[in-house]
Amino acid sequence: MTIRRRTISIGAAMALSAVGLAAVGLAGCATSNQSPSQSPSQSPTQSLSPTAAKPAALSGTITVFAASSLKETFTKLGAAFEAANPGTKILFSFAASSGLATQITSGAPADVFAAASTTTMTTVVSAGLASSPVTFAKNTMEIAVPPTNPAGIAALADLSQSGVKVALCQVAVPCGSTAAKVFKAAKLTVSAVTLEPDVKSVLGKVELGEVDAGVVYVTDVLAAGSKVLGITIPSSVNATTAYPIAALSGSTNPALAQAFLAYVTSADGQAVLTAAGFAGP
Amino acid sequence: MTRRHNADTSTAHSDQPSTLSFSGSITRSNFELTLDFEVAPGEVLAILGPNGAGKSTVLQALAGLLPLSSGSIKVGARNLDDVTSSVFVAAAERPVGYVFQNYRLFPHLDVADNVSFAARAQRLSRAAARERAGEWLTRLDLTDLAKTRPANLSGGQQQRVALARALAREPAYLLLDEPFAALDAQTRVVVHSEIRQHLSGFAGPVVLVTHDPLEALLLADRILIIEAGRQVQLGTPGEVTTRPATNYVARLVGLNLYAGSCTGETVDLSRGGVLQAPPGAPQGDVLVALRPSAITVSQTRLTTSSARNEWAATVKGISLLSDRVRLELDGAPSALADVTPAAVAALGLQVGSDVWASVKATELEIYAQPTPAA
Amino acid sequence: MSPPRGTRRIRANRIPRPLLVPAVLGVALLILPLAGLLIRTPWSHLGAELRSAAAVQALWLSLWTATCATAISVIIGVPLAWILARREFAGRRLLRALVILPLVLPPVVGGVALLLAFGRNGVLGHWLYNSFGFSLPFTPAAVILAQTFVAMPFLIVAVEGALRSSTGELESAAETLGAQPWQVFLRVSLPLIAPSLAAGAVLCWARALGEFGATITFAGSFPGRTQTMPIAVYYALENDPAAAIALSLVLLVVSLCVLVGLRDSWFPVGSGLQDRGVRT
Repeated sequence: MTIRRRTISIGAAMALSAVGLAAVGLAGCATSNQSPSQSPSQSPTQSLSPTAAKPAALSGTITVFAASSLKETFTKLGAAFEAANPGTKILFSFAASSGLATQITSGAPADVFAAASTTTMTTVVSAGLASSPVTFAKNTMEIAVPPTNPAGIAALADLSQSGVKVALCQVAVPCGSTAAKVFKAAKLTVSAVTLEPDVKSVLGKVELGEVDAGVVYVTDVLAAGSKVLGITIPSSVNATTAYPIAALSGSTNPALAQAFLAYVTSADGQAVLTAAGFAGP
Repeated sequence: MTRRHNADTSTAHSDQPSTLSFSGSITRSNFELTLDFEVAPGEVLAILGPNGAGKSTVLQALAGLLPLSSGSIKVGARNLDDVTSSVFVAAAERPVGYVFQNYRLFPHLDVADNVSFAARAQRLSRAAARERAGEWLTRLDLTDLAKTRPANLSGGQQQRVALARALAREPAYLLLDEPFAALDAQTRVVVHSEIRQHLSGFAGPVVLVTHDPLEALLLADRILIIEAGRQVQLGTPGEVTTRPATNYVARLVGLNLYAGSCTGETVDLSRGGVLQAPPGAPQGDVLVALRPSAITVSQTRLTTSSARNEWAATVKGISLLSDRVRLELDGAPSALADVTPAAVAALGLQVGSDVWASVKATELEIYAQPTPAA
Repeated sequence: MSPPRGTRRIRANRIPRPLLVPAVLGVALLILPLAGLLIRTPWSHLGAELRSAAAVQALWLSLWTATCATAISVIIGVPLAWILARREFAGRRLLRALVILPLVLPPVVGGVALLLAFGRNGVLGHWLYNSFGFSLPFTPAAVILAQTFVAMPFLIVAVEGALRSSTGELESAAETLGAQPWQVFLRVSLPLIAPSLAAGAVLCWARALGEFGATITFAGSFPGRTQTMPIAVYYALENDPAAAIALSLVLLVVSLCVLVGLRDSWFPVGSGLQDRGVRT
């Protein structure tokens, strides 16, 4: 998904660069995001949950930029939304929130942004590309280790031992900054062997057994199932990150964007999130 | 290619020049070539044949760049390649001097380093190797060019460097592949005599490959002619030029050649025509060689005599050689005839003219058909 | 009155319109992004950006790892190219295809493959770890390995091509002069392919310098240890775009220098390689 998304944004950049014919050609590639049958009469604030679909049916396609940690839940939510609203299509691009924020401020065509931290959302809001974000979930950190737990990690303090290979997110990414808060609260110095671009990369390195431990979200440990083992971080030192969601002002289908946003914050949406291990807002 | 045993590499060079012998076949994807010859020390054998006949592959086999598919190659008593006893001496171990077509000089080395390459390969220091090469540079008049790169040499100079490089290895036998092909016609004349002089100073056997009969005649003591994958004639230049064994050889040396059957008095030509034989002609299957200049062409029949052959013919082609006119006559037998331009004018010859061709019986060279080499 | 000579020559040199329009678009497509980079470069504090510890660290790491990767590629790539060019054996074509596969393989896939081979739980890495307690991923050695994996095929292709096209006849000439195979290689083949080898090495180095996908997958990213320039650019783009642009500019300049260095002397227009290395 990430890779596909990036090609589209590079395509857009190329279209800007190579004026004329190239722009015409590439614009054709990008029209899939636009809904030709979009109804302008629809109020953007209209709240539409899939269970309460109005006769003025939603249609078209939107692209949702969402934090890596939302991959499983949002994929599920998107499918449920599409099923309840035939004729709609929700495309996702999952990546590090900070990277997505950069893409949005660089003009990437997206309709909804769901970030893993308020800081990254603020970047987009202060650029004037979104307003009034809503927090729809919260997440805390957990230690993920390979099922065999080769380094015998039992507690957070074990991560600071020399010889223990730890993977973290890079600090610009919410999972990286949140992990840093945890270490600060626990007064630990953890030297990672690698700072990964997003939380799923950290999880991947743990799953492959290339590192002894990674600090990820509790939801990631849950989603990974038996592929990793979770070691709880005491709530006294654990840090929480809030997940804000906002429709983007550049959306070409604001009605659908608002409808999806409403669905995420609805009781049905919250149920899916809670089941995945997220805390309520 | 399964035979890779290096046998007998210890006795690299013997001081006594020895005979080089080749008896075997070379098989490549597109042809097979079977030859049997010996070259004595100091003798120059020219291998003559059409392009693509596999002449160069003979040299490659002699040099050890290509294994035989059957038979053997020996220098003196030493086996270099023997299929039955699984001996194959690699090129680097053979006492060979090889002058390649286009010379294959090393472009990144100067003349002195090219000539001292063999010495360097024997792990001599660069200085010692260059000193040894110096002698060869002097002998081939290359001293002034010692520090020149091959790219800056003329064709003739490159050839001398290639020869010096090969001789500096002090080989037991020398191979020359079309040594003049890369030279322009004018340089060639000068170089022919030079080469002959250098070759005469070489004590071992020399094998030279060429497609040019003149070169073979000028340089070789004996000529081996190959055609269609086999050896068709092996003889001295005199033998080859007077008694060609095949049409190809006859064409090379500019003779008409007919196969026929001789009763002792007449020859019944296999492709039509009967010729009077000179006294003492061999009986049985024979070849008849006839020089184009021995044929007289006239508009009317000459007085018949038993010693003169005469037959009707039609002029099929007329071409001007340097000082005479070559007529292509269609008759029994057909023949090439050389006449003077004045004769052409006087007889009013043109393509299609009907003429009489005649030749004295004593001008015919009649010899027994050679049995083809195995 | 005839037109001045210059005009006539331009006319003779005219480019057909159906070729010109796509060509101009091609130029725009290839050059405008570079112009964009230059336009957005924070020239006023460029020096400061580049002198920052992070930038210097990444640049230094990239330079020395790419150089090591190139050295390894030369040491093991040249013999491999020689075997591919000079020896016939069963499976040679397949081997050649496999060896140059990284040229077309997505680098990330290469990175995954490297993890599965040399990772702590990898086929070979497992044994390394169990026997010596040594694990490759997340070390500069892993960076070098990833770069070598991706870049060595460039060198192999250049050297193999040069060996195939030029030196066979000269090698057999050397053999007839008594040179052993190793001497033939050292005294004849190697000097003759030197220009191609140099060109291949430079391309290899440039590719190693730009390596991203295989590196981040196999070696991870840690400043000063495994975070090379391209990874630093990628990360910086998320929190410090000015730094990202400055670092990109450095890579652009280095790449340009490589190209200018390669120009003409190693890539003559036409044949691709100079015939037998003869300079005229």
